[in-house]
Amino acid sequence: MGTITVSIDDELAERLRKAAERFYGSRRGGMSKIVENALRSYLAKLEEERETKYIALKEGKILAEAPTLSELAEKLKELGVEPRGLRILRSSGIKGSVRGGYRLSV
Amino acid sequence: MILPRFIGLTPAIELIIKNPFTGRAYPERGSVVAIIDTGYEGFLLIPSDVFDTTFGELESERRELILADGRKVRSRGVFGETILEPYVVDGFIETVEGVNEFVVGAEFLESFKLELDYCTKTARLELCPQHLLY
Repeated sequence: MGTITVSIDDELAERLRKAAERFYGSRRGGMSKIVENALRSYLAKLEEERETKYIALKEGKILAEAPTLSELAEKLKELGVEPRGLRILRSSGIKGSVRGGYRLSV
Repeated sequence: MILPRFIGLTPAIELIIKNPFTGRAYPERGSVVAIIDTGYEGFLLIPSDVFDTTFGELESERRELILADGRKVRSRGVFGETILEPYVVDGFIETVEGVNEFVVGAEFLESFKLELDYCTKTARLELCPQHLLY
C-alpha cells in the first residue's frame, strides 16, 4: 500500500471524516477507502477523455490518427497530404441532432 | 484563466478560429467575440461566410439543429480549433445559413469551469484539470 500526504480544504476534510464514520464506522480506514474509490473513478474519467482521437480520411481511406487536431495536421503535413477534400472524424463522433439555443433564429 | 465579459446581460468570450490543416485563422488579426449560450448544445456556431473562408477546403459533416420554436434546420460543420490564449480547444465548428454571430455552446463549455457573477458583472473561465494534465 502506498502512502501519500496531501493538503485539502478544511471543509472538504471535515466532510471526508464525517463520511468515513458514517459509511465505514471509522475515520482512519474509512477515509483511505473513500479517497481510493474517488481517485479510481476520477482517474478513469481523465484517461477516458484522453482516449478521444481524430481521424483523417480522403476518398474513404484513413490517412492518419492523432489525439489532437494539431498533431493530426502535423502528421498529414509530414505525409504531404493536401487539405482539399479531407474529411476529419472524431472517435466519439458528433450527435446527429442537438438544440440550437435561443440565439439561433433563421 | 480567461475573463469573459458581459455584453448587456450576456457573457461573451474572445477567441480565434483556426483550420489546423491549412493554417488559416479567423480573424487574421485580433479576435472575435463569441456569445456564451448554454442553450446551444453544440461547440461553436459561426456565420457561413466565415465558415466557407476558413474551412472551405474540408469536407463538411451535416446534422440537425433544433430551433427554440421546435423547427429543425440542417447545419454543416467540421472539426477545427478555437484559440483562447493560452488555450487551444478542438471541437465541431458548424454553421447555418443566416447566422450572423459567433456562439459557443455547452459542448465547448464541457472543457471549462465557468463562473458567472451577475452581482459584479464578472466571469471566470478555467480549463478543466483533465485538460491541463496532458
